[in-house]
Order: sequence, then structure tokens, then C-alpha cells
Amino acid sequence: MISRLVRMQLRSRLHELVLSGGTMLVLLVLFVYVMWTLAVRLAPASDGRVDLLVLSAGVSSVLLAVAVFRRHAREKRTRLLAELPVSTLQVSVASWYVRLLGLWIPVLAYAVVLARVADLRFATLVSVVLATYLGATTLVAAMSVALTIPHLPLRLSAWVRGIYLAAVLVAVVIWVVWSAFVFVPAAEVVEVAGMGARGVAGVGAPGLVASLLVSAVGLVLLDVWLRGRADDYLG
Amino acid sequence: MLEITNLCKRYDRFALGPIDLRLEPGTVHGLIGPNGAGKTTLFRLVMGTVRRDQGLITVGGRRAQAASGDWKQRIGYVGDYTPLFEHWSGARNLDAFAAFYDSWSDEVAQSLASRLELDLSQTVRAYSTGQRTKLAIVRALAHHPNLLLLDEPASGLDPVARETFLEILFEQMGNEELTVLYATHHVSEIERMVDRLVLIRGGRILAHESVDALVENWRRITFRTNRPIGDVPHQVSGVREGDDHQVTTSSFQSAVWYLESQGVERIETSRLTTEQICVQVLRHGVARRKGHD
Repeated sequence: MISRLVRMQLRSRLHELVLSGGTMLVLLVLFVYVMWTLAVRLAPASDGRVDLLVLSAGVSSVLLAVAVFRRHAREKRTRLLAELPVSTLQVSVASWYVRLLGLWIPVLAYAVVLARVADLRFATLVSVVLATYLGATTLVAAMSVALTIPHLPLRLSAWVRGIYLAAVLVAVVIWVVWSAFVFVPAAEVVEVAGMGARGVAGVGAPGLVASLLVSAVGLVLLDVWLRGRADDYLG
Repeated sequence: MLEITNLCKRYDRFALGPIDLRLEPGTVHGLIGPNGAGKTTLFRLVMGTVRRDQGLITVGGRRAQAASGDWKQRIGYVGDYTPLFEHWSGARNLDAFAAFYDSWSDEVAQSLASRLELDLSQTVRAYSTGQRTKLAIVRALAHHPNLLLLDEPASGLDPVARETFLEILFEQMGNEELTVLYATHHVSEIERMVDRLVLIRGGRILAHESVDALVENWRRITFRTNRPIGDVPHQVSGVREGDDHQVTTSSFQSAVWYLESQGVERIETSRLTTEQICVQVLRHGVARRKGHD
């Protein structure tokens, strides 16, 4: 059943993207073009990578978030799937499968641009791609959890939800800043953020990737678990 | 076929239940209630699209639970809104749904679409409300359901399509295993096909009785007396103008016996239409006794 759900969702989303995703596609092309131009212009100067990294990670995340959480479409899809003879867990797993697959597209596009213009070693590039992917997954999962919370039988007050959303935003900012600290030479970090940043940068790329892996997997599992307990069917 | 026990669902401003309902295989039930009575919530709870707070639902012996979707294999559902893949054609939508049902029949789907004059090659986005409902009907019937849940299915259909749909439904009832729960505001729409009526108001079932029994027992009684007679048994509502009385009762025989025992003569009874009975039940309840107005 999960494979049927995945096939159905992939076909539908691809079809949707081709037919009505024109605006999204234009934005994506524009984004890649701007990134490319920026990258080429800044390529000789090594400190341009910081801007490149932060900007691309940030814009990618926002674009992804918008794409994944178009609320109306999500609600329609949810109601459609809810009427099929499948379990909540099957739909949740299938939905995440599709999301995780879809997240690779902008991340890999970003990696191609980065590989072309930035003077990063292969190992670093792999780390950047992994960190971006896991970071985007963390963000999407955190937003999904935030959207699921109001549907739980336990009613949470508005300020509790606000605190959660604020925590998610702070986590994203920390992630972006940390990424910058990790993937640029220490001297630039000191220039940018002062001596205190050395401690953060000292963890290195493996540390960042590992922590993002934990947060991404943790939040995805939390989201699946919460959806199983939501008041409405949220597969 | 469908057994609901102690079903409850509470929202901030509305509570459904406790509901106990048992629909035997091969029976047709009309679900009648005012707006906001809980009809759609009841359907959604059976379909599992809304989580119940407590209670048990079994469909054909299979327990409805979030961990499995098997119980929906033999349910055909036409809801108040029909979610579909908007960018796909009707045919492609049906293909997508077919993959999830063990007993799906493309022939049945094609035949139903043809009878309902539904163009399956058209993109769903261009469909009207009525066409979407037609597609939902095709989807609900193409996998040979044993339980048909219809939530005001004819509301968006034109008169011709509505007639065709009712004809199709009559044919489907030839299947002795098919159980139907049909919600509507128009009693006349289902009067000729239902075995029993489920009357619901404020999230609670007020009555679940056979149409014949309702029509037989519910009567309007008129009589003339100048003596005080108190409440007539099973009186639901009543009007008095001088010595002329008119009461509606849910058990006319007990009422007549009582009036005769009070020495009332020239008692006349008249039957109520099913629609009138539904209005009386939904307005006043069944067992409620009420004095003269």
C-alpha cells in the first residue's frame, strides 16, 4: 500500500508541478540564476562563500517550506487520502518518503552550483550537501509538527504554540549560523563573529551533520507519531 | 454490517454521542437531521477521517482503527465534499483509486459514468459541483461496496442526474448484502427506498425506527371535549381552541384508549406523512410529553 501511495503522490505532484507549478519554476530558475551570478562574481574572493552558503541555504529552505506547505493543497490531499482504505501510518510514511525524495532536487541543484563556482574540497562539498539536506528536512519536519499540534486532542493554548514556533525559528537561525561557522575558514569566522565562535566551529562538519541528522530523524519520527494521534486524519 | 457502540466525539462547541447504532446487512437507512445535527461527523467517524474520543465501530466484522485501513475496503462513501486530484482527468483519478481496492471494476466505473453522463476525459478542475459528485458516486460504487455511506449525495445533482442516481441506487439494492446509510434533508427523496429512519439532533439519535412503524404509530388526533383530560399518552405536540383539541402522538392506539377511557367521543385520527413525522420528531423529540399549547 505504501508503494502505491508513493507512486500516486509522486505522479500527482509531478503533474501538478508541470501544469501549475509555473510560478514556482520561475522562482526556482530565478534563484539559481541569481546564485550563479553572485557566485561567479564572488568566486575570486574566498570570503564570498559565507554569503553564498547562508543565502542559498536560507532561500532554499524558504522555497521548500512554501512548496511543501501550501496549506490548501495539503488539506485537499489529506482528505483525499483519508478516504482510501489505508492506515494513518501508511499515509504518513508515504508522504514523508515523497517529501524526502523531493527535498533532494533543490539540494542537489544547489550542490551543482556550489561545485561549479566554489573552491571547496570534495569532502567539504559532500558535508555541505548533507548538512543542507538534513537542515531542510529538520525545517520541514519542524513546520509539519507545528501544523499538526493544533489538531491534537490535547488543546494547546496559542502562546504554547507561539513558543514552539519561536523555538523552531531560533533553531533554524542557529543552524544557518552554525553552518557558516563550520564551513568557512576559522579566520573568517573570527572576523565575522568574534573570538567566541571558535568553540562552535571547533565541532566541525561531522558534528554539524550528526546533530542535524539527529534533529531531522527525531522530528520526522515525532511528526509521524503525532499524526497518528491527531484529531483529524493527517496522513 | 455496521455496528456502532457508545461512539462519542467532542468538539469545543459540539458533542456527538453517545451513539449506538446497528445496521443489518441488506437494509437501507435514511439519516435525517437538521443542519449541525452531527450527520457528517458520524460519517467521518465511520470513515476514520476524524478520530473518535471513545466507542467502537465495526464494519462487516472488521474493527475500524487507525492502524489499519482494511475496514474501508468495502465502504463506498460520497461525502459532503469530494476531494480529487484536480489536475487529472476523471478517468485518471479513477485509475489512481482503483489501485487501492481489491474488488474494483473498471467496467462498472465506465458504465456508471456513462449512465450519469460524466465525461471522464475532462480535467477534474473543470468539473462543476454536480460532476464532482457524479465522480464520487462512480468511485463509491465501482468497488462493489457492502456499506454505502451517502452524505447528501444528490444535493449538487441536476434533476435528471438525481433520478438516474436514484435508479442506480435501486439497482444496487438488489445486492442483498448492501447496507445503505443515506443522509438527506429531503425525506421524499429516500422515502420509497429506506427500511428505517435514523433521526438525529444535537449529536444524539432520537429515533431509529422502520418507516412503516412510524407511519402506523404517529397520528394526528382531533377531538372535542370541555373536560380537563391532562396529557394524552405519547403526546408530542398539541393545539387547543376552545373545546377543540388537536394532538400529535407517537402511539395513537394508547392515546385513543386513554381518550375513550376519559369519556371523549368523536375521536378522529389522521396519518402523517413521513416528512411530517420527521419534523415532529426533530422538533419535539419522541418520548417527550407535552401539555396543551
